[in-house]
Amino acid sequence: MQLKFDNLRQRVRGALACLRLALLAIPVAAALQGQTFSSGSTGADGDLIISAPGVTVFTTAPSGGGSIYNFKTIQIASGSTLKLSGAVFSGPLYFLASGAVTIAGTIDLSGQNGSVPATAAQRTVPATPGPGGYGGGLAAFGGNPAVPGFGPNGGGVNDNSCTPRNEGIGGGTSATQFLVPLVGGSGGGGAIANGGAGGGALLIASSVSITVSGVVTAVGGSGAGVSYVGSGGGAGGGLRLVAPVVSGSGTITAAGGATGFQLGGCTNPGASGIVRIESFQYTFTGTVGGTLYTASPVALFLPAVTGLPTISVTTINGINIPPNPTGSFTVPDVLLNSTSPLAVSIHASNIPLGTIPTLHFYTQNFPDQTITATAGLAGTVGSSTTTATVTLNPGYSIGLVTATWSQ
Amino acid sequence: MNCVYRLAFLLPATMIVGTAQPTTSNRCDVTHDSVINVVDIQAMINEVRGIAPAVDDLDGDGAVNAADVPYTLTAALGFGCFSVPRTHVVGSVPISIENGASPVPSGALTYVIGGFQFSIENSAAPFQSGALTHVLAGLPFSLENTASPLPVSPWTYEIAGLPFSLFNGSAQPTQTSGASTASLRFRIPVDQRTVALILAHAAANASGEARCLDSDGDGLCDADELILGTSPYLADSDGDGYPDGLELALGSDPLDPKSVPAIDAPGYYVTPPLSIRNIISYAILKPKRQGAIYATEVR
Repeated sequence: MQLKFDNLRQRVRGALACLRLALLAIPVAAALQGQTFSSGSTGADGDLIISAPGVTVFTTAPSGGGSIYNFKTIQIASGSTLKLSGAVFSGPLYFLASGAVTIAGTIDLSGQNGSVPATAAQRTVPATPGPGGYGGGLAAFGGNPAVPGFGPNGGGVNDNSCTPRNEGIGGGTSATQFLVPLVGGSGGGGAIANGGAGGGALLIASSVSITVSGVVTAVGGSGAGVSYVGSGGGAGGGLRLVAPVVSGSGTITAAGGATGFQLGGCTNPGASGIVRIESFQYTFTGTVGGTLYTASPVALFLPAVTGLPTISVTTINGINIPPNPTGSFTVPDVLLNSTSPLAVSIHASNIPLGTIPTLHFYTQNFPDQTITATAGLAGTVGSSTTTATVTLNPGYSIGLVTATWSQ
Repeated sequence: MNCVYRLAFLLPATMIVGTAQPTTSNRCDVTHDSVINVVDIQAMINEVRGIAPAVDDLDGDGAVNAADVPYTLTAALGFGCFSVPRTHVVGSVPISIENGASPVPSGALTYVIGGFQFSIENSAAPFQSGALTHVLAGLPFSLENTASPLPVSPWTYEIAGLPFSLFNGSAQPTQTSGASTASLRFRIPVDQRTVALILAHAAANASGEARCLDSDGDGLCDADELILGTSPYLADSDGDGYPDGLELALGSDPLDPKSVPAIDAPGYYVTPPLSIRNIISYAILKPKRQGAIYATEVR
C-alpha cells in the first residue's frame, strides 16, 4: 500500500513536472511562433520564373495595379538576368512572395552609366535609373550648361573644391536605413559628360526564405569624363530583403556609381545606397555593396496601391501623348510643326494640390528651356491637372516634368 | 559574502513625458521642417558629436552667412528651444556617495545626490567591500570600493553630475560575491541644463559605431534612446506600430502613439523622358543666345 501510495505520489509529481514543463513550453512555443513572418502575398501574380539565358526586361504590371506584386515564388535561374528599368517603372517595386525566393541569376536595377555625348542629341537624354531611382544630370554641351542630377539629392554640377571646377557631383540618397519609404538613388551631376543615374529600389519579401547565390544589384551608374573632368556617379539604390531566412553566397549591392574623372581632380562617386536585410536567420555569406543594415523583420509598410504619386504630360497642342513614352528619337513620342506657343496639359495623381510642376525641355542645338506650369495642380489629390505653355525649338527635344512638394 | 542592497529613491515620479516645445522661432527647428521635435534634438546630438556640423541662420536675417555663428547646442539652449521639462530615462550619470557614518550602518542610508534624496539600504553586515556591478538602464554601472576596511567618506563614482532618481524596478539586487545583475533604472528631469549635459555626455562617449549598441534593433543606439527617452529594449516605444528609429528618421515622435510618420515616397517626382520632334524649319528661328551652336540644316 505504501508502495502504491509512493507510486501515486510519484505519478502526481510526474504529472506536476509535466505540467511545469508544459507551462514552460508555452512561452517557448510562443517565442518560436513569433519567429514567423508573412509577406502578405496573395499569390495572385503566380510564380515569377526567369529561366531564359540572357537579359529579360521586365514589363509586366501587377495584377492588382500599382507596383506591388503578389507572387507565389520567385526563381531567377543561373545565367538569366531580370532587368528592372526606370524606363519601364517610374517608381520603386515591391515583390511579395508566399513561397521561397531563389536568385541564382541576376536581378538588375542598376542605374545607367553616364557618358560623354558625341552629339547634341545624346546630351539631351539623361542616363536611365533603376525603378524608383533618378536620372543623371546632363553634360555641358553646345552652349548649354551642365544640368544637375535628378532626384531629391541629385548631384550638383560644380564641385568648387575641384580643380578645374566643373566636375559633376555624385548623387545622394534620401533613404532611411529602414528603406521606408522605399526610394532609389539620385543622379550624379553633369559636367563634360552626362552623370550616372541612381540605382533603383526594390523590396523582396518572402514568407519562407530568400536565397541569393547570384546577384541583386541596384548600383548607381558611373560618371564619365575626359582627362581631369567628369560627371558624378549616381547614388546606389535601395534593396530591402525580408524573410524568415536569408541565405546564399552571392552578391547584394547598392553601391554608388564610380566617379567620372579620369586623371586627378575630385573624386565624385555616387553615395552608397542601402541594403537592408531583415530576417530571423541570417546566414548570407556573400558580398554586400553599399551600406548594410540587418535586423529582424518589421512591418513592410507597403504603400497604398492607389497612393503612388504620378505625373505626366497628356497632350501638347492637343496631341495626345502616349501614356508610356519611349523617349526615343528614332520614333518620337510626339511630332509637331509649330513656332507658336503651345498648350501643354499635365495630369497628376497623389501629388498635393497646389504643387506647381516644372517642365524641362532639352533640345539638340538650342538652349534648354525650363518652364513653370501656369498654376498649381487643381482638382482632387487622386486626379489633378494643370497646364503650361511652351514654344518648342526646332528639331529633337527631350521633355521631362518634375514636381517637388513637402510631405 | 552575501549582501543585499535595496535602493529606494525618492525623486518625484510624475514628470511630463512629451515633445519639447519651442519658446522661440525657427532657430530651434534645426532640420527646417517647420516642426520642432525630437528630430531636432537628434540633429543637435549629431552636431555635438561632429557627425553633421550645421550652421543655422542664427541672426534671423534669412540667410546662413558669415554673420551666423556655428549652430551650437549652447546657442539652441540659449534660445529656449527646450524649456519644458520632460522626463528621460538616462543611463549613467556621475554621482557621489558620501557615507558620513562610521562604521557603515547596516540599515538604510539616506544620501542627497543632485539635490534629491535617495537611500541605499544594506541589509547585510558588514558592508560589502570590493566591486559591485549593476546594470543601470542597460548600461554597465559599477561601484567599486578598493579600500579595506571601507572608507567613511567620500565615495565618488563617475556617472555624470545630473539630478536624478534611482529606483529598483525589479527584484532586489542580490550581491553574492562579485557582480550583481540587478536591473536598475534612473530618471532625470530634463531641462535646458540637463539636455546640455546629456548631449555633452553623449558627445564625449558616443563616437564611433563600436559604441552604438542597438539592443532592440530599432535603428537607434541604446545611448541615444536613453537620451531621447525611448526604450533601448523596445523597438516601438509608444506602440504605434512604427520602430523608434523610423519615427525619428521621418520626423514623428517615438514617444507619442498619436504621432506617426508619413511613409509616402519623397516629395519629388520626375517623369520618364518624352521625345519630341518639331519639324519646323530651323531657319525660321533666330539664334536665341550667343555662344550656342546652331544647326544649319533646314528641314
